[in-house]
Amino acid sequence: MDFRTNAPIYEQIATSIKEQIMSGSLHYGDKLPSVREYSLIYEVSALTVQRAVQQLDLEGIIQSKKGIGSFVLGNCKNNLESRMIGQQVDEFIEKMKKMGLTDEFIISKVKESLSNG
Amino acid sequence: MDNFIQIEGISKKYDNKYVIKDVSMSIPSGRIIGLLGDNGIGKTTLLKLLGNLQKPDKGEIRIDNTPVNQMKAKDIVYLLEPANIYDWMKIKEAIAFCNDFQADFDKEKALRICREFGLDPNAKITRLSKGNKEKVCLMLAFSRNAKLYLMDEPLGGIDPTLKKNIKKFILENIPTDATIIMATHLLKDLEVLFDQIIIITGAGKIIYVDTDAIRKTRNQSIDEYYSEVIENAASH
Repeated sequence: MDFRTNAPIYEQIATSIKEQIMSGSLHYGDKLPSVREYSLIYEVSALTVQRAVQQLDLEGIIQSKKGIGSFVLGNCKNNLESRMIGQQVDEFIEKMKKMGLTDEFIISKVKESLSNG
Repeated sequence: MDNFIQIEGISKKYDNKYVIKDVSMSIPSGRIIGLLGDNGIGKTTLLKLLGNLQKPDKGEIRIDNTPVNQMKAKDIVYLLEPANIYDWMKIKEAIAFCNDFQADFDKEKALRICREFGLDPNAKITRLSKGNKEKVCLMLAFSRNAKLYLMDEPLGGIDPTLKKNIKKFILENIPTDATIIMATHLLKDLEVLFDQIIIITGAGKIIYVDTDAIRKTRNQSIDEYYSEVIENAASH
């Protein structure tokens, strides 16, 4: 994986694992690869993997069981979808507002684009 | 463990100039650390102090709660520039030699790494290219299971193929709880691998930071951060 070097690597790994859950390549109840396996997959240190896993655990996306491993939690796909979509929408609105556009204009443009399919 | 390496108030002078001045820091175990700084600024000195190959003028270094001068050589792997000590040997003789003298040496691993690197165990070390000598040194160092790996520019003459795979090679071949301190100029290639960096900025000063913390707080790559630190140090 090519990382952006100006953003924390562990966050990018956490995002990559979230994307795998959203795309369905990781399912509810699946056991995640071990820290060592992830370390070789992403070519990062064990510490970086541990931080990524810890973040996913804190966000309630996975559950880590000491000595057993980490598992994808139920319902996290829906939560993730709404959260990641929310993030995208927020970023889009922020960009539009920076351009000085009004709420009405943004809404009308979005509607126009959607109706044009 | 949170203070695997404990450096307490060490100073080292050469020709009345401080290379390291009153430096104290704690380094946890299981970290991969880049050691950065201009040529001749003291990277090798710091590595030698940590490896007990030189003594500080002042202060103490403890590794795993033992003063470094009482450490057993087996716990620390010190990888210098291509070692001349094995020059008269064939690769397989160097492997047998290390296997006899280093309790943590893994001969099978050594032979596997030889295959990975395309090194012929029957080759005489003295006849090898600089890049291949470097591979012999890496092979001998990574065939051990130590707690601390000190590496001084281990990848200077590295070929592009190995450079591409070096992160994976390092991760595959060291125990996850080991600490690596690696002096290198290949920051762009390796910054993603480093958990932390130590920068020697001159006049005895040292900066020791967590790489992802720098990325998070400054939105900078480690390469950019390093350039900034060096520029600031030069202007003072």
